[in-house]
Amino acid sequence: MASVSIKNIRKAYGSVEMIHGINVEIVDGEFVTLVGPSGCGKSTLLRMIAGLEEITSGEIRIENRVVNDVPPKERDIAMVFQNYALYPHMTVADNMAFSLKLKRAPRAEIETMVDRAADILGLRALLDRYPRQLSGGQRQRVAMGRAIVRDPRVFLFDEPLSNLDAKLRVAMRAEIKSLHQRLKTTTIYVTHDQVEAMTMADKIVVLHGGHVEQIGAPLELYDRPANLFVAGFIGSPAMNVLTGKIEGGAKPAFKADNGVVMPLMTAPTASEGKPMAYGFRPEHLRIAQDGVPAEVVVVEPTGSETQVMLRLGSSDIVAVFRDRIAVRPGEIIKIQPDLEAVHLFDGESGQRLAA
Amino acid sequence: MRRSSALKPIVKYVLYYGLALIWVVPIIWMAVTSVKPTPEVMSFTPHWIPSSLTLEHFWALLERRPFFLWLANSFQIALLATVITIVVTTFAAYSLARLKWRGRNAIFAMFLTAMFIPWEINSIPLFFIVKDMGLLNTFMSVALPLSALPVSLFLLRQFFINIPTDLEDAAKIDGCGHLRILWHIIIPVSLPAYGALAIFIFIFAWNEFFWSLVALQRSGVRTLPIGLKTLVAASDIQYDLMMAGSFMATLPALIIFLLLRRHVIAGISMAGVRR
Repeated sequence: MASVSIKNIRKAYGSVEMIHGINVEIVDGEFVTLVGPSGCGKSTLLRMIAGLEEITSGEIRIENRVVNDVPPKERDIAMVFQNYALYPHMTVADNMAFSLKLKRAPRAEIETMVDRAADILGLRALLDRYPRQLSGGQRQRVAMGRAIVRDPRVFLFDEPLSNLDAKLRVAMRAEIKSLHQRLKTTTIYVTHDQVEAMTMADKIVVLHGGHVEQIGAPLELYDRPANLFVAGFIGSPAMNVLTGKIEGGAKPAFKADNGVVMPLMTAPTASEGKPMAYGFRPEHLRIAQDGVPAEVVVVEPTGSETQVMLRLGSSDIVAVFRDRIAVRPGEIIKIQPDLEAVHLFDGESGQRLAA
Repeated sequence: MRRSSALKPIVKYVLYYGLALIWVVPIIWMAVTSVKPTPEVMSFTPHWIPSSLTLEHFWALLERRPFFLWLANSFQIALLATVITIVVTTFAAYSLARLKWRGRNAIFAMFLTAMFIPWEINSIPLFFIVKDMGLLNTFMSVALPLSALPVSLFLLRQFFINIPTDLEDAAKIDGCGHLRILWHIIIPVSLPAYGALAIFIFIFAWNEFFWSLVALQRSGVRTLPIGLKTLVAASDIQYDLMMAGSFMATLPALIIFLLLRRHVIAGISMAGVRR
């Protein structure tokens, strides 16, 4: 186990800078996910930590040792790849034992390590099979086995579940999390799936365009997104956002550009008349007699909840109701956001404002 | 619509069998002629089915010419060329496919261009090089030039390029440097390509005539194609012996191809496909 410190890391390909000075501190035993849309630099950052990609400037430390110029094999890390990267000509056992054989570990030690990993992951019966004889989930498990066998100080996962079907993805998600709880090895996990990030991580690093947008615990990011990007990226369905201005007066309110007036508990100081964004999560809407009228467009009952797409002025928003509500497309309902859960962002910088 | 779709497979198979026939008829003719009585070999009306079968041409060839010496020479040259090609091309193809260095693409383009130059055109400069190296009349004089065919490099490089880079990255993390990646990962994963390459070079070297004729002038180092050519005299062509000799010369290459056919097809088809 080890801490990982990423200081002002930059990556440029020729004159084009892709990663613009990233700082992340990962403590010993922590499970950190790097999340962001395609092209945000999350996989590049992970590959730089692994030593598979050169660092243009900055410093990466693994347990206080600068590893910028240390080759991957000497970083004491293990990596699980998106497409498993199992050696197709080796059996499951040989795949897992490969790194130890290269280190010339004694045969007995190799067997013990492989058996231990196979037991942890339920791979005992598959040890003599070749990767082509395994299902996607089994292959992913072997890839994890190969990582465990090395007993590394840091696990790196590069979108390991994106090739699996939805059901298997949920199962493997739980498996990786329980593996981390068991081994307590520092883990850095890259994903573009914010649900994966939310459910697995101790800490999430949201990346966008080569910058860190926010670092924090999953619920912290959900409850207090630092900016509009994080607000829109974390949470599914995404946060509803209306643009407009704050109107002063005895009772402050938000007047959206589409003409709708939304209630506010308090207005940030000196915010009157400035362009703003008003955000509220779909589950923070309720039906209220004194609410704002909205037209029902689509109703999607899932059993446990009902998702309703509404037209509010000229904007489409989504509401999620825990109760089974009987509404039909075309019907007008009155809705009201939970005022304590309203988020305000600066209309120009997109940064969160203290509401 | 329905009629044309029903006709499609018929047309396809007529075309396949037609093409196959064009290739196979000379081989059948060679095999049949090698066991025909001599008068039928030379008769004006072709005898597709011999009146009787005879092995006399085979015995005559073995008796009058050092057939087994030619065979052994050809085999040694083909084997040498195949082994050297595999060793040399492996490093060159890996470097061109996987290592990043300045001028890599220019060098590969140069090799590609060389593919379009007929092999025989090199004979004169090659003759002087081989002569200066003191290799004339040795097996190496034929095997070495055959080991540097651009097509070998092309085939292997294309195969290596399509091996997922994640495999290499995984091997790097597991503790491999470039040589170990090559030995433990790239080569085992590329066995189908090696099968195709080995057969291609072996058969190419086995059939090679022109350059061998230039480089191997002593009778003791003659290969099968040159040996068989000695059956063609200015005024007399011994068709019966020639067909018997050609038939025997074809067999080893045919057997090797049949044994490794699966690998050849897999190797050639995978060389251009991203997996």
